[in-house]
Amino acid sequence: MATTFIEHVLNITMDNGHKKYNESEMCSHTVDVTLSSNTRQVNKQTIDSYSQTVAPQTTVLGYQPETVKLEGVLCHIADVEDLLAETAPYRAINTLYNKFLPCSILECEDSDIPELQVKISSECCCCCCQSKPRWLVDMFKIKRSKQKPDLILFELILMRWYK
Amino acid sequence: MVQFKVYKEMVPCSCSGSCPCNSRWSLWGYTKSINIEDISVQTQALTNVVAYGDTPYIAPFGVKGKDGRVANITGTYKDASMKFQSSLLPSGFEVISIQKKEPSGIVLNGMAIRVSGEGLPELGDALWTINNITWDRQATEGGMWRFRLQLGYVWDVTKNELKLYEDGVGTNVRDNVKFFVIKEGDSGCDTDESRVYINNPKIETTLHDLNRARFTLPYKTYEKEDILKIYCDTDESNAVFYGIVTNVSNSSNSAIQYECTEIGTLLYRKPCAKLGAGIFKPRIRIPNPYKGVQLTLQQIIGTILKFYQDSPIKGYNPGPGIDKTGKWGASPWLPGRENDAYLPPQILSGFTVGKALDNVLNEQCGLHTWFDNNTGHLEYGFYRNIVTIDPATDYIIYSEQIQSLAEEYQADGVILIDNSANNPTRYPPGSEGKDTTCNTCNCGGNVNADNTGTYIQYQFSSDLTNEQLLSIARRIYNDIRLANRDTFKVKFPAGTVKFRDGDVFDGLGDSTVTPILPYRGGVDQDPTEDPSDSCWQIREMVITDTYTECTVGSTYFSIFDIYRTALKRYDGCPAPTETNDSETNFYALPARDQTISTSGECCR
Repeated sequence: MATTFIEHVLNITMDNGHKKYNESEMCSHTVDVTLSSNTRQVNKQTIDSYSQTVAPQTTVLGYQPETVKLEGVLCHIADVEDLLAETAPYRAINTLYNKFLPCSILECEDSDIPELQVKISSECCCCCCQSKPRWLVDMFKIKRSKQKPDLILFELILMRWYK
Repeated sequence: MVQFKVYKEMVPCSCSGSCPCNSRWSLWGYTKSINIEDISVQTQALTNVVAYGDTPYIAPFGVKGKDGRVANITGTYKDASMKFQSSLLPSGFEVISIQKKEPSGIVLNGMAIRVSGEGLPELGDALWTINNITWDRQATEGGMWRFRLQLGYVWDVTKNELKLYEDGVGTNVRDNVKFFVIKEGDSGCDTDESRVYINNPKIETTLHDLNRARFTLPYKTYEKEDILKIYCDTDESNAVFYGIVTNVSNSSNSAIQYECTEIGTLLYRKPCAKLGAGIFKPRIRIPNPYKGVQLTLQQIIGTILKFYQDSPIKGYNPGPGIDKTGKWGASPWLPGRENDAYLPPQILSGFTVGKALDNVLNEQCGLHTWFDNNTGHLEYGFYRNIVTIDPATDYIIYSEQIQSLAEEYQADGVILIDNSANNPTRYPPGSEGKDTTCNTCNCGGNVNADNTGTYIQYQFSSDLTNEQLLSIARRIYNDIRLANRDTFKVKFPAGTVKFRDGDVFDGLGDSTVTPILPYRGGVDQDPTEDPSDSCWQIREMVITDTYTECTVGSTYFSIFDIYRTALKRYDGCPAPTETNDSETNFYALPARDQTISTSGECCR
């Protein structure tokens, strides 16, 4: 299922001792993803560990997951150069492991996965709550094995970004 | 086919500060061709998630330290081992993970690899350090060697790879620095021989007490009473601490632990009197006015310091006392109370010089005192120096609110009573500024028609006139409504040693955390007046070899700072001092079957 994200990056600035973020839109990513956390809800435990509850909490009506885990095919091994060409203008080091930058903000432009499209609040009518949902990239992993040596797979753990 | 270039880490270059160059990796050889069976590369963000309000708040920091990006590879060799193609190597060397003393062609933990050849785009062109190697021989696969590599990413600090930081901000900070000690009087000058590098340094400074320092050494080098200066290798010309060894003890790991107190502690060893025989000593006092002239603060301090300077200890000279306010040292008035209260006469009997200075500067004037880390000279004032943050080196790692001095609720008004509680004064005054007179019993007492809302009551420790009470109540009302009474902790990278307690930032703020550290910039022209230009001042500071943490608060010198213990919140309802001739007023207890009315009745 094709999902399109608009990537925004947070740029920490120090302007005369004032630390703040500047947010700027970078590029878009369209990847085939499946929501692996639709049957097992992912929760963040520590910095780099997650737990998965057996009960699929997403079946609860109206549940808005704070953390989602996506999996999918990043590209075929023969298409690596084409994939990297998409991000070439936006990356200081343009490699596969930088396809999704940690701490970047992904705005879900289009997806078949309803959990990715849940707005912050369906009741509030302000532009913040009604804008397209945003997710912070918490972990990005690429992997390949000899079972499918031609496909580069990926895992992506996203945390809901409220700002 | 894929093969690895293998690099060995050389002695770091001698670049001062944070070395951005990657020249420390030297090409060491090549592996033979490898079949990759499995590979993964994972990048983990570093965030802090806190519950705040209705939604969680995420503070992104970047990646999880040096292990933020790791790779795992499983691969095989068709032939003997992962040895280099070198004629110097004996054949038969296997993949091993132990360090050998002599140079060898063996791939070791701590070395780095870079992909050479086609077919493994996951690792890119980057250098990867080998964190761990395991290997085995697969009997079922014809005795083929299979190895597993755990790799760590070598970050190139010259490239802003993650886009989280703007160029030149926070990407080049050090996570560890060294501190060294020079003993005063040892050699008279700083030479490499006189430096002693110390372990586990921790320097704690505060506005309200002498600074302290602790460190350990594996052997006993210093004795109690030795005078030391501690320096950081990021600034070898300015001492971070200047003090005297006050305790030497064995720490739990058999190292020798040294505890030091700031050099100003010597002032607490000298009494404000000339010691001599006899029971009755002359009363030591500084009259003010003296011969009809009001003494200035600097004159009083100079008189007190003379008790020490007549016979200094260990050659330490506190100097004449440097006025950092630029105003009050030459003034006869108590700071913040110009044309209101002169500096009082000083009774010094029984005080040490240090305690007498505390009494005058801290308790009477509400000023802070410091001792210069290089000269040991006494300084006093509201704040010390104005410092500027360099975003490349003084980058704010993290900040958090630790204390809010604001009252627990936003009161609609303030009630101030003096010591005898006879004149409760309310600010703002009652409805439309009018109080009403009791109209039921003709007692003459004042009853405020608008007694609704919330109030906070304070008591002053002496009796004041109505005008004084109203003036102070107005100032209290304004000060407790200020939002700048909060305190934050701000963490800076290791080696940030240019700050001193009492320093003021000419610009500081952090909008990436919740609650945010509000930005304040510029200069506070007069801390006793106009809170709108207040800045962030370092109240406390902890300096270690891995971080510098500042506790910052407002420079604004509120009415609570001016009157200190004389003004305190009072949550009781004190009964006034009653005499036969005076009538009870609003605060008198009612008779048993009567109640206090708030609608213009005052019942006795």
